Amino acid sequence: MRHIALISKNELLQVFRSWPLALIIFALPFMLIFIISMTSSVNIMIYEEGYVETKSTMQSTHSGAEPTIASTTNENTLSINEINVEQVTALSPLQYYTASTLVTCILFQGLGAAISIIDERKDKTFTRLRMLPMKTSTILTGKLVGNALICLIQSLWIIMISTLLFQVDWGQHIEILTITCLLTICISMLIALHVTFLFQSVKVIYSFFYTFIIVMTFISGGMIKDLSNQLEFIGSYTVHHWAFKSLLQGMLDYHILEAMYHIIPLMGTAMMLYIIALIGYRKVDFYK
Amino acid sequence: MSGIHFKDVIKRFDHHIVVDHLNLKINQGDILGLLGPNGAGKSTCIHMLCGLLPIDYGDITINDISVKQHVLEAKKLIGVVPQHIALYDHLSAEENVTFFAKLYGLKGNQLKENVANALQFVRLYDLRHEKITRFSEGQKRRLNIACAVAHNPAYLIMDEPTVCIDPQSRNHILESVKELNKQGTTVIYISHYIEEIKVLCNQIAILDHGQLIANGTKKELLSQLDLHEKVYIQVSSLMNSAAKEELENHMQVSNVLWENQQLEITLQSAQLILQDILFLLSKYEISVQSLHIEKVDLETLFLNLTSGTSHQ
Ligand SMILES: Nc1ncnc2c1ncn2[C@@H]1O[C@H](COP(=O)(O)OP(=O)(O)OP(=O)(O)O)[C@@H](O)[C@H]1O
Ligand SMILES: [Mg+2]
Repeated sequence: MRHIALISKNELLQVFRSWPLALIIFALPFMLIFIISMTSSVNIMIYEEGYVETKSTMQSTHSGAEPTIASTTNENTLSINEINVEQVTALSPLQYYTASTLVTCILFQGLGAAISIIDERKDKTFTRLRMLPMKTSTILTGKLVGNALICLIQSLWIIMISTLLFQVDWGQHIEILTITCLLTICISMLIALHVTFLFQSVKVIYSFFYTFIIVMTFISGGMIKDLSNQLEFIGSYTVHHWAFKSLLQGMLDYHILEAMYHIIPLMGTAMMLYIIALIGYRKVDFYK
Repeated sequence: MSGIHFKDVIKRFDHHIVVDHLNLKINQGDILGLLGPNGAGKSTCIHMLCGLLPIDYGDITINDISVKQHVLEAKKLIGVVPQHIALYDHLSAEENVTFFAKLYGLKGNQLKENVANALQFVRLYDLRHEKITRFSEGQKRRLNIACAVAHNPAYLIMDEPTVCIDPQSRNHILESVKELNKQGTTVIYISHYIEEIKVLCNQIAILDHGQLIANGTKKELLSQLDLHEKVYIQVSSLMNSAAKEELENHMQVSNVLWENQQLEITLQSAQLILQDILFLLSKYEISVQSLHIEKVDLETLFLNLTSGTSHQ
């Protein structure tokens, strides 16, 4: 435990003492949200239709039908609080894109973690740590915990800034937001670990993450709202999609049980990645 | 039984044997100098010792703790100065040493005291708050050493620790290692500087192609080997075959080379027969202009044993 704490603390220091990294972590999401808020007037046009839909659904729920999950399949534009039917809220484009930004940032922090592991292996400090009385898995865990903390700090920062400066409403259900963020962070770190098991080149890792995350963000609708049906179908099986939709549900004050529809796949993915990591770890030659 | 014991250790890299049936014992309190040309397998031995590399065959024990079975326990006893600089750029000198010392379990006042001592050990105490990105290569090397000694290990393993380090600091480090040894630290010292090994170590092992080709005290090594000294004599005349033949027939002389006015005589011990040689030369009316005796030392011994070759 002590070893993990020491290594993760070192990881935090490494990031926060280097101003370009700290800048990326703190300023970039802020800038993204700012740009979105600037362009959101355009987006509102796109949303008008959704808003109309919202109204019509609201009427239909009012006219006697039991509110079910099925009636909210179009969650990202529809906005009905299942618990309190009276209180109807719509998602603003700012909310929509801020949630997407949050998920993307968390997934991107995996890149940070992967680079940090590879850099450390290159700098020989990893070898030195392996000479100390602790297991290699402890070192890796320490590094991942450190990066997960950085990721957590960044998520809190995004949530704080978006709430205070841009009045983004994250909803009443803190638990959905918390669980979703934590699970996404775990997944992001585990992906990072797998990537370092597979590749040793920083360049390859960069390309992998950029391609992986941008494609995932795109097909899950985090960039452009209306996608073709096929893309939308594939997109509904991505980490980004589950995390994103779960956050939106949180914003729309869904009950946590409904958000489970997206949280459970996230849990499953995290578990699966963890198990594969345990198997993969034995096959990796750390002496290179 | 205390000490470090390599028991019939074999290491292969893709069917290529790098350490070949190594049997070596380092007693507690010794300073072992490990010599060998590039690629001899010295670092590989150390890496197996500190658990970086699995041991293919045999075992290594540290104070009777098997590295194969209880690697974490074994690693607690050692401190390693790696061959390559392995430090964190974002930390200051003091923070680097503290980080590694903490990982060895040091805490509180003990930690502070040991870190300060380690920094003094390598003469970097005054620069302790500096970021190491501002350090020169030699200063980094010294800090690299400090990070391995802060936890006062029972066994200190140094893999070419003094590369790039200026003579003043090098002497200081050698003195400090001796001091540590007096306080009870056992040291394995790998170096290509034979001078260092000479002044520091009381036991010497030479490794070549992964095999231990010599092991013992310096005296033992020199006496074990049937090595010769060389006498170089600058003479007044060109080759005189009669004189050359008579020299060659001398019991103790093993070889005579005579080129131009330079005479090179290889023999067992110059001390014993120098008189004879000079007498013989004067008999042929050859006058001696200058004379130089090359004694057998560790360097010649090393070059001889490893045939002066270095691997790729
Ligand atoms: N990871 C590896 N994979 C394959 N071969 C390796 C590996 N590491 C070392 N070797 C080989 O093992 C041999 C011994 O290397 P080692 O680093 O132990 O030599 P050394 O005696 O420390 O040399 P030097 O004086 O240059 O430090 C070399 O021939 C090297 O090519
Ligand atoms: Mg070496």
